[in-house]
Amino acid sequence: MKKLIALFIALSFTALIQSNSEAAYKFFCGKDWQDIDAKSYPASVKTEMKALLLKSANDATMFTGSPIVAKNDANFQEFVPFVDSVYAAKEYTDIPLQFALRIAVMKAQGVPDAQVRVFAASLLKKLTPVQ
Amino acid sequence: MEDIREKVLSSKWFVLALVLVLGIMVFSIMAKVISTTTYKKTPVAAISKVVTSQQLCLDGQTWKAIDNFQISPMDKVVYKISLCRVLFEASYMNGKPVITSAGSLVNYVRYLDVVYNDPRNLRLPLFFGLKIAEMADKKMPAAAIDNFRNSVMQKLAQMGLIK
Repeated sequence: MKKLIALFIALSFTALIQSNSEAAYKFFCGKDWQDIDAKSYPASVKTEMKALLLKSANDATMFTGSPIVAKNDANFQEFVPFVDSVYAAKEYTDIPLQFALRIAVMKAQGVPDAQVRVFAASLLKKLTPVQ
Repeated sequence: MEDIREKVLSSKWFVLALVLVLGIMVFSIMAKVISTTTYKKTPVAAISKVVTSQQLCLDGQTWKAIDNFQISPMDKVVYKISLCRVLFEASYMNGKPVITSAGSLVNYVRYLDVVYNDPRNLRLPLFFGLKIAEMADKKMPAAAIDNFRNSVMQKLAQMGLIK
C-alpha cells in the first residue's frame, strides 16, 4: 500500500514538473539571432532582416511607453554589428533581443565596458528565474 | 475489501497525498488565472508616446517588403513569425503585452498577410496589426475590429505619423 501511495505522489510531482516546463517561455535570444547567420542568404539580406528585428523590438518599447532608441529616423542597421558583438559572447546568448539592443545602444554611445558588464550581469540575474 | 478500503482511507499517507494533489491543482489554477488577468491591455492612448520620438515604425509596407527578400517562402513565414514574436516579447517585458491570449502566431501572420493586402492598411503599424489579428482570432465582430483600426489610424494621422 505504501508503495502505491509513493507512486501516486511521484506521479503527481511528475505532472507538476511537466506542466511547469510547458509554461516556461524561451525568448528570442542569441541562438535565434545566430540562426540567421547560419543561413546562406546574401549578407545584405541578413543585415536587413536583423535590422527589422531590432526595429520590431524598438517599436514594441515605443508603443508601450519607453522606447530604447528615441532618435528620429534611427538607422537600425548601424546597431546590427553591436548586437552581433553582444551575442558573440557566450554568456550573453540568453539575453532577449530587446535587452541586447539596449546593450548595443550603450556600446554605440561609448558607455564603458565595465558599466555594460554590470548592466548585463544584473539583467541575467533577473532573467534566470523567468527563463 | 471493506477492510482494505478503510485502511487506505484512514492512512496518514493517503490524506497527505490527497492534500498535496489538491494543493497542486489549486496552485496551477491560481497561476493560470493570475497570468491571464494581470496584464493590462494596450490602450490606443499609448500612441501619444510616439509623438515624442516622431519615429516611423514597421507597417504594411515593411511587411510587403519582406516578400521581396531573396529567401525561401517558408523562411519568409518563419521570419514574419519571428518579427511578431519579438514585438510581442518586448511589449510583454515592458508590462503591456500587445497580445494577451494564447493564439497561434502562425494564424496571426496569415491574418496579417490578408490585412496588409488591403492598400488602406499599408500604413497601419505592425504593433496594431498584430493586435487586430488577435481580435480576429478571438472571433470579435468585424465592426469592433474596424472601429479599433479606424481609431488607431485616426490618432496616428492626427499626429502626422501616417497620411
